[in-house]
Amino acid sequence: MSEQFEPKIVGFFCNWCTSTAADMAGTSRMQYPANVRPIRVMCSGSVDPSYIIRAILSGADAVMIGGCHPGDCHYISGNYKARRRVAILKSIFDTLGLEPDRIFLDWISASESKKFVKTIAEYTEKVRNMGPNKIAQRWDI
Amino acid sequence: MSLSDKINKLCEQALEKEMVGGIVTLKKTADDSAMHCLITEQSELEGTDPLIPFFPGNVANFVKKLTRITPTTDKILVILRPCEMRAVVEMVKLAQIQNQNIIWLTFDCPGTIPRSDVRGEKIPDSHEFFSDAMNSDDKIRTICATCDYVRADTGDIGFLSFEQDAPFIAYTEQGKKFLNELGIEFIEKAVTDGLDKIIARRIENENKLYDKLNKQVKGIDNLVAAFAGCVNCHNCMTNCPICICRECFFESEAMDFAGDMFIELARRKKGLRAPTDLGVFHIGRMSHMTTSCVSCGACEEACPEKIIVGQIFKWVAANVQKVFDYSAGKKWEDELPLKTFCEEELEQVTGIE
Ligand code: SF4
Ligand code: SF4
Ligand code: SF4
Ligand code: FES
Repeated sequence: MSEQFEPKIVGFFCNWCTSTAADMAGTSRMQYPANVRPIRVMCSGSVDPSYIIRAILSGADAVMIGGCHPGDCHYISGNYKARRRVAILKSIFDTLGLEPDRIFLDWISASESKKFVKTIAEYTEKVRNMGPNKIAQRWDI
Repeated sequence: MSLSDKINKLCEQALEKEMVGGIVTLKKTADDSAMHCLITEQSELEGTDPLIPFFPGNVANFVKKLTRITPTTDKILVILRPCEMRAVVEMVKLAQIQNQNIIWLTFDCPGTIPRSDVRGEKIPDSHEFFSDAMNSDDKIRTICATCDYVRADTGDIGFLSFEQDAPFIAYTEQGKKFLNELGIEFIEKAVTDGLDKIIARRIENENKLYDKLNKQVKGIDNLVAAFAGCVNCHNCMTNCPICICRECFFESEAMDFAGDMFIELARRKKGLRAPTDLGVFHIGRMSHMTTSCVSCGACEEACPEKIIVGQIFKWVAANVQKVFDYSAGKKWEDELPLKTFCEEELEQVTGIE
């Protein structure tokens, strides 16, 4: 049997919600796939799309952004702005024939460590099925 | 009287009556070149041709500079193309232009000839060019041939060059007052007979362009091929009226890494193209500014490698702007997609579908 493809997923997680959920999952010893490389950001609204593009072109198979639920952002509207930026980037990927599904945004609050674990597992599985990100392996872009 | 003469006449009178302190128009710098020029005296009108089919760059960039520190004390008349007016509208919304003491005069635009086609030749005078342009799009830039916005109604005064007798039209109170003071006849309700014909043709061209790009630029291989010759000079960004950052992110230290990181990248990517960051720059730039791209093609005209960067940005921008039901620079009242949001929207973007 060939070795299972283990995707590398870069996670930009908001300090106030998804990062805390991830910590909680860790301290309560919940199991989740080790495919995500988490990066703590102060707010999902602080993730410039160019960070996502950089990751996708430099070796990540997917990027996940985790923010506070609508209405709960500590900076009031950062997550709504993140959602617009992700919508823009997905549209660009779609037009250019890249894979918009390699960019993923979800709302996971500090208390939702179960949702965090479930989401990571589901998304890892999805990216695994998509296979390796081909553009990350192109020298010429 | 040629169409340009008609506008020049207006300029002459406005200067003579001291109704404006300056006029921004196009003036020949050589047989094969013209530039925007701020003139302050009637005698300087010699050699100007506001309708000349040549696009040295988007004039909105100059107006930004003109008003950056303070707007002018005297009124300035700016004569510009519809795509330039679109850029002005976006830049005012982006707080890049102080829209005070400016009278905007926009004309129905037949398009411009690619600068590279004119180099070493003679730019046709606008009156020679106009009648051709009414019937065919063969000589003009692809960006122009696929432009569905050949008349801007967001300025103060319009010049309906496609219509019978090419009338002036007043769009605002300021425009009306200005034309009245000059004693120039104008209409107040737009006529569109000439315009409709051109727009129908342009929209057809536009759809054909998108079909072509969908076949020839979409997909990793095609995309890489389309940008293969890019030398990362960033001329496209410097000439873009919407790329307003004093320091572009893609020219900042955020693009620098320790030497070992480049080795690591080269390992992962089976080699590393240099100059680096081709995709990060172009796709990143798209993510920053296509919500406001006005399809002027200043980027493409400035590209030394003939990359069809303007066409690609126009195509990407059309789809991005559709997401927000926005069309950059066409309406003063529509809010910039990146400045606003709705609490309930874009549900398809979150979660795993
Ligand atoms: S990206 Fe090109 S076409 Fe779009 S506004 Fe900038 S210069 Fe004009
Ligand atoms: S590409 Fe982005 S960072 Fe650079 S000037 Fe344009 S908007 Fe600014
Ligand atoms: S102007 Fe042309 S060569 Fe220069 S960075 Fe832009 S696309 Fe590349
Ligand atoms: S603070 Fe969590 S998304 Fe803004």
